[in-house]
Amino acid sequence: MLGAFAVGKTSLVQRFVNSIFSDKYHTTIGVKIDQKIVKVDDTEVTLMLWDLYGDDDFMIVKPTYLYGSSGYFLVADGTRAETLQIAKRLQEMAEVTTKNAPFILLINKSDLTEAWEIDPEAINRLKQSGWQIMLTSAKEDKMVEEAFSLLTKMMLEIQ
Amino acid sequence: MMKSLTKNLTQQFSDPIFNYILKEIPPYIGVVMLQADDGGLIRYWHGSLDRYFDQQPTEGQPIEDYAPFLFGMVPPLINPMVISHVLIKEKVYVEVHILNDDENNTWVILIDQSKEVELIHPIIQYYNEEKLKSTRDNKQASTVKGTLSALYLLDYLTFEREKDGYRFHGITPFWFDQLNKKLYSDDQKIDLIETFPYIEVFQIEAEEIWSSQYNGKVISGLWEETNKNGTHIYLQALALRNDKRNYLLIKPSNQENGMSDGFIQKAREQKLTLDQLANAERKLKQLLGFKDQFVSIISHDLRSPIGAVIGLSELLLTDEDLINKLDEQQLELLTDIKNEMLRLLDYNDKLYQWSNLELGNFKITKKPVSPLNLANYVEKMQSAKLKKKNITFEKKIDSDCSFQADETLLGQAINNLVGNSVKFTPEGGTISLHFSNSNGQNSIIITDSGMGMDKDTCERLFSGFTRKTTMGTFGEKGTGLGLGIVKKILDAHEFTINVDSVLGKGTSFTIVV
Repeated sequence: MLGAFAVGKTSLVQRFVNSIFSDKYHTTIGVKIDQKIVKVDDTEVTLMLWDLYGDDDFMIVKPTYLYGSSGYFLVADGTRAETLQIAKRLQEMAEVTTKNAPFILLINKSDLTEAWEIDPEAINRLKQSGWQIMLTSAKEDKMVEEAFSLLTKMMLEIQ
Repeated sequence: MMKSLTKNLTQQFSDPIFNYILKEIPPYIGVVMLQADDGGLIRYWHGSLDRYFDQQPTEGQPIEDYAPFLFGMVPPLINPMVISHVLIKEKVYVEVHILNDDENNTWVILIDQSKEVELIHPIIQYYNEEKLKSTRDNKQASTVKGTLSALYLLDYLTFEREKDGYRFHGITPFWFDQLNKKLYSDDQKIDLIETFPYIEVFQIEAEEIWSSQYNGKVISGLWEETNKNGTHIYLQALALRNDKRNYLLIKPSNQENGMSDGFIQKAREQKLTLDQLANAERKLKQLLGFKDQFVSIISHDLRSPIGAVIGLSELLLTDEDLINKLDEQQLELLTDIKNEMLRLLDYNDKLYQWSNLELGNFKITKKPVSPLNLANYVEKMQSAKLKKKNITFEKKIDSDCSFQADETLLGQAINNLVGNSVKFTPEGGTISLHFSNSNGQNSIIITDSGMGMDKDTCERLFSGFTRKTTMGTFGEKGTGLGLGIVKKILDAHEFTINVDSVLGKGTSFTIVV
């Protein structure tokens, strides 16, 4: 899980792994690793989910965390346009470190449409350049399961 | 001996170190001390070192070379750091105290525990064997001598990195027993990554140290684990290479990290709040922009119909046949229509100017201006009102008063100020317009003998649109926009305006250019 701070990386993982959501923001320090077994087309896959701390001036995500990863989510907050720029920057780093591992851009907090800031045109441009993009809401459990299933499929296709 | 030692200590040690020694170090014979600077080089030593070391140290010698059991511990990971029962040479056990002082010197104090160990060793041996028996997994007893063997006492989970895996040393510390974790072993080797997947990534960094020819260490980032009771704990790993052997130590993050955790949490919460405020401000400005655009368009479009009604009313008032047919009341009504429409036009024009000033739809073109032209323009614009109220208008222009401004906009601002003075100056009063140069400072001063204002009114004068307007001495109505427009124009020029007023005596506006 890669992205700026407070975009909802931990919330997405917790929603997916433990089916829970908390409105209270608690910044992630370091790394939290969770595990979940998913079934994709009759194949059982054990996902090791690395929830990395948010990237900002206080804590820069180190490329070493991405070594050996089979795929990754870039997470942006739809209500904070600058988080999309951070996701793009992290993607450049991840692309090199993971040697083109599959990824999906999750634009989270889709429940807050009235405060939406990310320009739909920017999303369209990324889609046209081949990015897989999904709008999610960890709070309302929208597209979370689907996102993890799709990334798992993408990772299996590469294997 | 203690007396001389105390005397020696008071002369050479800083207060915190001296206090630590007095309070924490038991009065054993055989206490020795080593002091290293912030680079880990020996600066000072005290006591009979030959009890613990085969030779005397030399000044400037790396402390870890002289006392290899201190490897990775200088400066101490926690301050002070105390490790008991360290075997530093055959049958010699010491308690090691490592502490930093205010100047980043490291003090190492060794206390002989050989006798104590000799006495309690069988008990410790028995205790450890029992503990090892009771652990479900096949953990290994310590085979490392020196400091590393006792690290579990400092909460470290200690492993030695070998070619085909990790070998566990000591016993599991308390914090590990609280985790939902166990050590997986295969043929005496620990599958550490199965227990802590984070180590898989840290190994990449650690291998650089472990494969090096030299001693060294690298510290990992933090990772989070969950305790059996659902609470969370942050862990950190330390990879060490010492004397061609590789170690991996794991420990809960210390207090400092706890503080930085709180600091980062607060800083990020603050950043989120600031972002939200900035967003709200941006949206508000956008809405204000829409409002000004709306007002600008409406006021522009209203000019034509208002002008048409004024034109029609003038046409009717100049139609003698019609006027002859009207009675006095009807004629008054028709005149009122024209006057009210003129006032509406004036208001509408000011609204248009205001909204355009708010939108920034104007460009300041500064050129040398003619004070005389400006004074004449204002006098002409106000002549009808001045005449109606029999007000004397005085113009005074200092010959050396010269400055640059946008003549059209500045003329409009001065005209608004003079118009304001006309409104509040009673019949027969005086208004003066002075283009002044005093000691090289140019200013424009408008003074009237009007009704003046109280302090509260003076303070609110240039705040922009206001619902509260004061009727003039002839019952003139205001738009509430005039002085707001003045301020906008002067701000765009980077001119300032001051007001000085005395109730019942008059007001003076000074534009400093």
